[in-house]
Amino acid sequence: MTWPFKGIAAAFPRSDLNTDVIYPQSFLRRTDIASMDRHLFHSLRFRADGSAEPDFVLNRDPWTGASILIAGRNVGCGSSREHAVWALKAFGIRCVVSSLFADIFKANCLNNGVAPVTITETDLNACLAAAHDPTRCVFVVDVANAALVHDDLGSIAFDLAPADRQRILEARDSIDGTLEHESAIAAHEQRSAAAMPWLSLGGAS
Amino acid sequence: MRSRTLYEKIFDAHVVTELGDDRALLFVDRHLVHEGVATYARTRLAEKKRPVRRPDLTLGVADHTVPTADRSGAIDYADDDARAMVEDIEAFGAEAGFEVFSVRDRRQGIVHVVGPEQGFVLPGALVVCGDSHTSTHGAFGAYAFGIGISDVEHVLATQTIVQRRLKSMRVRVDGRLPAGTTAKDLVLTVLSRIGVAGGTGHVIEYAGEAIEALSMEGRMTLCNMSIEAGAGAGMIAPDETTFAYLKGRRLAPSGAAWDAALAFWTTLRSDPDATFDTDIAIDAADVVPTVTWGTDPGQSLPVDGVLPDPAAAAPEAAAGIAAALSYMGLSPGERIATVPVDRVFIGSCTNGRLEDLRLAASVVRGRRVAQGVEAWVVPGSGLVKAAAEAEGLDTVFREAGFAWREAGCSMCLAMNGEALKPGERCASTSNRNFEGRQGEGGRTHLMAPAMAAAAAIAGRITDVRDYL
Ligand code: SF4
Repeated sequence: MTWPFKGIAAAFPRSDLNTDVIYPQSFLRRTDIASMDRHLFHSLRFRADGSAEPDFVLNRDPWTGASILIAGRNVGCGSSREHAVWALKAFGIRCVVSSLFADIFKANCLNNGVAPVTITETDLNACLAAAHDPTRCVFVVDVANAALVHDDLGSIAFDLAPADRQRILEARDSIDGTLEHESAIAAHEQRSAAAMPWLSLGGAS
Repeated sequence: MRSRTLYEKIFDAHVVTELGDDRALLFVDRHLVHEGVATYARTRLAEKKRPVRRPDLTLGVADHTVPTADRSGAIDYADDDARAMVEDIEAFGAEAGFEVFSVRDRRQGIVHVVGPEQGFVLPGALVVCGDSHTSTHGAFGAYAFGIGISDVEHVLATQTIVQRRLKSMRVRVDGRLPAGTTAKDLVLTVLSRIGVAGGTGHVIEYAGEAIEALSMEGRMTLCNMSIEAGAGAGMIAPDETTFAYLKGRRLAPSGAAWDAALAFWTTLRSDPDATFDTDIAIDAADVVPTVTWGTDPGQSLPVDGVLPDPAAAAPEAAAGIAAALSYMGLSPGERIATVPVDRVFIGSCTNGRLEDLRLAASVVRGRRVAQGVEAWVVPGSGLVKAAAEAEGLDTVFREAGFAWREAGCSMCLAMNGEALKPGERCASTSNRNFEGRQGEGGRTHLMAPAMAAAAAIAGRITDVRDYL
């Protein structure tokens, strides 16, 4: 994936949007990550008979092709289910914009190369208004420069820590990165076993 | 040395290396794994041929997808995917060398009930699990938090996790909780005060007389729902109550190791002059039996309260209140205590422990579940179930018309297929009343176990104090 990218932003302004709503529990037993977009926002996006709910933003053009989700305050609260991010990503979402992210959801975004970007409440309202308009819903997400760029709104600075920006840009496997600290991990294991022997297990049956 | 909070002390003690940008690589002392995440992690680790680094510090359980109907014979899973997840964690544990309490093990149960029960979780430890309610274990003075599946994989492969330093919040609860109220009412009160985003980016430490007076069960209920405030963790400094709970548990230290541990654990508390970024004070005397009316755990009312009116609310809150009332099928101004229920669910990692079942049974004893109400008790673990049966609680519930079930998450999440039907209303002792949480279209009212028991008897939400 290349950065920066230009994409269509869908507005879903509900605040305190929990991950149960993003990806309902009935589909948590599925393991095919690449097809989880089918269950994204399931109870809002589909009617009881399985047909698409015409009013839901992701069912309307141009937002069927959205790659940016502009959410309300406190997005991704509740369950730690990574399925919420997998489903967003499978749908094509590469950036989530909000004024506040739930901590686990943000970590899940970073682990999947989805940029969780935080902007002020005032900027968020302006972005939501633009994204509601099919003629104004295109944004450029520039992670390297920590900015959302929009034709009318100009450049909106976002908050994402330098190390997190780096992770998104490099798309590096985090386990490989950590394994480079092998000697430090081994040293900690030894220190800990000596100082707090009660933390060792293994003899139990 | 600079004064530090309990959280800061535990964080610092687990730093493997600083990573810059206020992040550190932290060592994980205890990793709990359930079948809902193990399936994915197992596949992905195998793809990269990565071994589990410390199976000795890993404990697996099957809880989310297991049926809680009688399991003495064949097990009737919701579908093949549910069965596959259970079989997967069994296979994963066998090949990687970690212990798994699967569906046939008498110690099986909800991960956050089983971990403490086994003495797996200890004060001062860093505990993670691929489940947001890992915050439960902060009740022991551990730093415990939920993680996503990629991070589960990371912990399995490296026994470490990358974390930022969070801000700190102290919630002081002075005085004593009044009769008829419990830790559940307290945590619902805290949530209505600070809101479902109030703890985001913070670790909450609970302190004060009311907290010290809580049992370990009560402390776990409180820390369990810290995540509902968005908190990175909830914790309580360990004390005699903690140590008494741990002593003699299978995986807790014994002999000389116990003495050494105890000497350290008694020092584990925030320094007297440590500063918190936010301080909240609550008078325990103000806590009353509390029920949620809406679609997030912060939307609650005293049981004698009336439902809010969007027209009278602040403009930015009105739409949210109206949407929640509409989903819940309720009207502004209605008294919450008149709302009829179809189902009652007593269980979950919030309130599925022995003390919870005792409190519920004390209300139920000698009474009958109201006509038309389907009421379930789902013990938090096989050991909770056995202990309750040894006291005859199963008989109390059964005679009253409750279903007495096997251990598991069950209708807290309905991931095992045990779900509300659309429109059904449930008095539930679980932790989330989100739209569709207990089944698509289901309506959840969160409350304490004795309150849920009273609702089963009355057939509607009611004040438990009338039943004591
Ligand atoms: S009981 Fe509910 S909240 Fe607790 S671990 Fe199970 S599903 Fe999650």
